[in-house]
Amino acid sequence: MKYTIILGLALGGCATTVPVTQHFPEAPKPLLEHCKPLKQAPQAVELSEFIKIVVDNYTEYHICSSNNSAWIEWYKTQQRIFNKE
Amino acid sequence: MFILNFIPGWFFPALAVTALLVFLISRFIKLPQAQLVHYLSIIVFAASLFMCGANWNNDYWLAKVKEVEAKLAQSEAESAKENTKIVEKVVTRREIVRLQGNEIVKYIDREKLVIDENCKIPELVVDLHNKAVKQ
Repeated sequence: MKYTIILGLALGGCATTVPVTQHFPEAPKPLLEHCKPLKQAPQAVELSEFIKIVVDNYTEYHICSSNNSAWIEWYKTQQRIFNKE
Repeated sequence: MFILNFIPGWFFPALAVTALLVFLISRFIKLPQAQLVHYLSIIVFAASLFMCGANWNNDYWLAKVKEVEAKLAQSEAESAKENTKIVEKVVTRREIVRLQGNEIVKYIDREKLVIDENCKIPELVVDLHNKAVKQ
């Protein structure tokens, strides 16, 4: 018993924990949304309706493109913050 | 060292000084079992000096940990601030794109008759468009 206590106290000095942990930065929620699928045109469609579908698809592309640019900006910003002394 | 969390910082310097005093007393004053006390005081002095060093080292690393924790907290705050900026930019850009798309759709609705007047889209064109969409 005596030796167990002495050993416990002696090995207590070896107890080492890593006290600081860095968490992965949280990404903004709007950037986590997937791009919407593009719209298809029905057969025998009028030109005006067809153009509307094309416009909708371009709009979705531009939204998706802005998301992609935001991801690049987010990555560069987080990298700058992480690497800062 | 885990054990140092329970012992106050003044304890080991005080123990070292006491051991030194006992060493000197046992050297010049005749005590019962003077030799044993003499050698014990040397061991206690050496051990307390070692623990003083360990304590200093422990304090040094605790200070380092605090410093890193402060830096991390600062980084997290900056990261959150930058995230807000990015979100604001994305939301604004999306709104602009949606508004522009709606404007074009409204224009198409206004000019529907002119657009549809002399043009019929071949089914092939629709098929090609849908093929491109499916990619």
